[in-house]
Amino acid sequence: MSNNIIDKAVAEGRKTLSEYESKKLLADYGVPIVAEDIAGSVNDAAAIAENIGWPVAMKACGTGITHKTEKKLIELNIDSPQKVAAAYAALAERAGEGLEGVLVQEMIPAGRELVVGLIRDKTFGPCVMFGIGGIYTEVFRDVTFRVAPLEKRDASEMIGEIRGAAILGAFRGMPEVDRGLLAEILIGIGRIGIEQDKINEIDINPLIIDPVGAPVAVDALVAVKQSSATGCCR
Amino acid sequence: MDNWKSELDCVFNPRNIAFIGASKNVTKWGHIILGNIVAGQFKGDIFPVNPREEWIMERKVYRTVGEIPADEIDLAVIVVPSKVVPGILRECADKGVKGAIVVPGGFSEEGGEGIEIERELAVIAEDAGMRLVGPNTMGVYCGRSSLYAMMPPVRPKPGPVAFVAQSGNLGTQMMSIGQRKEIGFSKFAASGNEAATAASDYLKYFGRDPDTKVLLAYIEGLKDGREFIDAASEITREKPLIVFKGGQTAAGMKAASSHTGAMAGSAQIYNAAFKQCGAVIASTPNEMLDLAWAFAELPLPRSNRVGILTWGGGWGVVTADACEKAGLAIPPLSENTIAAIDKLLPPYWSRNNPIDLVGTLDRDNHIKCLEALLADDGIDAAIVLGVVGGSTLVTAHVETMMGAPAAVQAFVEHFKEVDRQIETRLLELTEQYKKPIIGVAVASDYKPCHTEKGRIVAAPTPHMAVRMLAGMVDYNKYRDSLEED
Repeated sequence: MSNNIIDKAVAEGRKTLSEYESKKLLADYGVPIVAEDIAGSVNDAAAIAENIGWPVAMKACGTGITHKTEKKLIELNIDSPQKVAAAYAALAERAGEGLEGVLVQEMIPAGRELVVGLIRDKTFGPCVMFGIGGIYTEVFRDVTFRVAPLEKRDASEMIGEIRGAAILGAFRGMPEVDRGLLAEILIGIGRIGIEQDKINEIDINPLIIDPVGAPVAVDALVAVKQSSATGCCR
Repeated sequence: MDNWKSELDCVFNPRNIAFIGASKNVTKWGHIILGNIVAGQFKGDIFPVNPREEWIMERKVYRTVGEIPADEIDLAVIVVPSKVVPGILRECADKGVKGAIVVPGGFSEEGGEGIEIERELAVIAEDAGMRLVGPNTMGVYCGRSSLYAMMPPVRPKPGPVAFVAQSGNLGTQMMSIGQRKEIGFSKFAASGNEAATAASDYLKYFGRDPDTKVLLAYIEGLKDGREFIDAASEITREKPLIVFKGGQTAAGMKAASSHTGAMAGSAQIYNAAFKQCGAVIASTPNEMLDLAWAFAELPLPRSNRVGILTWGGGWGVVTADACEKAGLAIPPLSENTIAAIDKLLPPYWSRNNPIDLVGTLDRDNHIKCLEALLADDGIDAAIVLGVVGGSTLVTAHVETMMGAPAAVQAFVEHFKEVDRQIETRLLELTEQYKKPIIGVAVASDYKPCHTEKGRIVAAPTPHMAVRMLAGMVDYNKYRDSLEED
């Protein structure tokens, strides 16, 4: 499954997987992802929403589509078939030609937002990142790294060593984060770095902590290595 | 596979040395380095090589390596211009020389043709199975063989610390500072351009070296990060490795397409890698040396609970603050400990950790308080402020009051003797309780006495004492976590 998605993207000379493809790949490595499906029409979208349960989030999806917040390609809290139709039309217009479908997602209530990522360092190879996510990720830069593969010890150290580690505890009526599950996610991302050498970088942002304390990937971006024929210089 | 590269006995413990490029000119490295080897009293034969000389430093000079009348040569020290090094290295290979130190620069660090010549050296060495140090290196040192094959006249005393530096300049100067701190070194290598032998290879060799208890590495950039992690992880199972990284750039990866990439600074990744393999990270050269001293001389603390004994209240407060910041705990004293110290100090003593000696002058009593502290099961380590190095205060006092220290020499000597007795007792207590004790002679550059039992570890500041203990606590925790896995 993962390999098909990656090979297809490489064969098409793409730099990134779509959000939908990205999460399919992450799910293969044990990352809990938000309930979602891709719709090709308004009717599709309404049926998916019905299936997932109201309200839903809708996002424009396509292999060339990134920076969805900035481009207003996300519609939240859609709670009726009428609103699905309106949102679908709005997203289709703003996305233009790049639209390949509309992603209909379970609405995860606003909560603590984390970030998990993967990069390839020129000295140490694949490295996993963990930290405070959301739109302020690059403002606070409260992140930490480990070289893959990760041991359990590495993952739990990462979880404990960010400056904002207290955010993971029980907090203003929110439960403690499931650290075991969080550690498994970090180890799984490290495993992608070791096993999938065509994957260059990963961003999971946000990884939202749901009301019972379980992390779930709400948005994700996977960048693939372009074959040398396309002239990549990295 | 590549393990032969870390079999470096021919470099550090050679039976003999061919010195190629020996010179009579006192301003040439060919003279200075040879002089350092000779003056350092290297135990084996030294064969100077120079086609134009007959005698240098009362030694017969050979025209080529091939002419040296020895069947086997362990080490060649090569001090000739870069362009002729490949030819010389081939001659060495033909003679069966086992290892070579290529001192001069003019290779990959200069770019252009230098890169090609350096590659050639690596190939020659690889083909012959010859170990190659450098090129562009300040040389190596080994305490056991009394080998000072180095450019600067650094004379560290033999001891338990091995050091590899990716800058010869910084490395040899650190050795000088270490020498002043009386830290003993087993081995040193300036790895230079690392054409064939990388920092990781030296570390692997030091890890196996029975003379080495603590390893130091000054790292600017690794060619193979994975190899370093593997080597270091293996070493830290047995011996502490202290790393100081130069070049802490904050810049993220250029041309990253993800947010993760934009935030991944090289320094962060290096620090993560060091942490993962159990290395202790030093943030300054001095910290690296002080950590080395503590690791070499003290037992590891079982956990992070520190007892502070202080002659004056203020330093106790400052030290407790520093402990908390560094993740060290200052637990309350047990009732037994409080009861024991009640008998020793005036009734208004702090009855808490830190123990304030409230300026009492009975130094015997101070040691008894320390012993009560160490006997407390809730305490893993002690920092002792102002109790050691009392003689420096007396000396300063006498010099101020009398102007002429010679007249009161006996007085000062008496206090030095008291210092020696106190420090001997500290060493006995360390042994008895198997807990590290670090002394801080606040406001002086006090050097501990040489006693029959060795020397205590003394930090220049309370903050350094805290850093030393925190490094040891982290390392011990890492080792414990290996056992859990």
